[in-house]
Amino acid sequence: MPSNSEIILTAQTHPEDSSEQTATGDKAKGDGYYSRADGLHTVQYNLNKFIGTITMQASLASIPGDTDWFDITSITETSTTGSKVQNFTGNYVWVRAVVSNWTGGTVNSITLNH
Amino acid sequence: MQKTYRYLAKNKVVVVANMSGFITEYRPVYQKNLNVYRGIDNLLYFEIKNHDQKNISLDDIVTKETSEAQSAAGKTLKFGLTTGIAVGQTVTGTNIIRGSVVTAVTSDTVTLSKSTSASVPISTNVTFQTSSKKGVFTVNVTENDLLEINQQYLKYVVYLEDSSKARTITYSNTHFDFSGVMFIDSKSMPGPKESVSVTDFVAEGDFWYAGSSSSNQITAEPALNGNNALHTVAVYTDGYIGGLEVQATLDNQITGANNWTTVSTFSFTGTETQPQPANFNGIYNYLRFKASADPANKITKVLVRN
Repeated sequence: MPSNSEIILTAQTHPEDSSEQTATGDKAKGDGYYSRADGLHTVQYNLNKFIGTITMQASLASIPGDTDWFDITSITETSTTGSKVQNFTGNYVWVRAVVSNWTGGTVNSITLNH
Repeated sequence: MQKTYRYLAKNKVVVVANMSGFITEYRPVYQKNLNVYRGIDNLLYFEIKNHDQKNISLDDIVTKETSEAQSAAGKTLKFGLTTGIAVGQTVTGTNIIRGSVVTAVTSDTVTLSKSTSASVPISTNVTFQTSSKKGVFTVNVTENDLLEINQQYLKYVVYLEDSSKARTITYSNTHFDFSGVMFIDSKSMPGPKESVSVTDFVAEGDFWYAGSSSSNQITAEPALNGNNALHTVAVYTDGYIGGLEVQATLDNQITGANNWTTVSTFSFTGTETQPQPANFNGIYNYLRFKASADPANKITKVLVRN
């Protein structure tokens, strides 16, 4: 597996206009892409006054379409600054991050190790 | 001891631009096929040459038609407009001496550093270009670009486009072929294997099963358990209401009368909008799925990854 963590969502800043925004990161290879891995993934959310929900999604399809993604785990934050870490396990071919109910703050980055 | 050499080389392709003054002195006989590999970024180098085998600049290529014929060989050329022409640009075209550069520009007149070899007729295409670059550009065909493309031969073309969107053909060989051939190779970096897709449920008594018979058995790949024998399934439903059990067995053959144990359970309400996943561990020989309600058109598929 890669020795360096991968940024799966780059910096996203809310326009601070009280609107509810969403953002979806590009798909990143999960453990299942390589097969025979232990399926353990660790994701780190780097936030600055973030208000909203971040959901990790995964797919078992080799070439995922819109309907192939399912939620794995999520966090809901209210003006959080700093980093949060989550682990999840599965033979997921692809994973991605989805930001929703986002009403303020910044996602500096979301990084993935597996 | 086996010793193997590998080459770290640029994948470079030379093409010939169809510029003014093109007299086909440089005639490459054939163009090599480009090999592009799935599963990795492919950085391709293209080198644009003129008929004289000299790299041409890709910056500010401007082609203009002369608005007046020269009365005799000389250093000045007349154009309707001289926008885009600048001092220092190299000049190519009919009767223009190699190495000529622009020394002065007015609204309708361009002065060259060298006198033309003969008078330049009216409506002659003359190309002006800066020489700060060497005519090399790169194209990165990324892993993501090739993700959904099967192994195959494709044709590609290279053309130049200036700031006014005018396009110039580049040729790949002496036969004036515009296109070259690119081979997409999917064997070297094969990418992820497909997940097993389960769709065939068969009614047996009060339940519906997939994987119960030898004709539709679902292997759990017990020999490949280096991943902690982790299994992941994703159930795709469309309004299905009922339960679904994932069952496993250590029996070596599927006979239709096997010993199954439930290892994971789903309960669907019919409101699911996403595939429902489950993970479980175990060095099982085979898996099967047991539905409590008729799954026809309701459980569209189950993806299994061992």
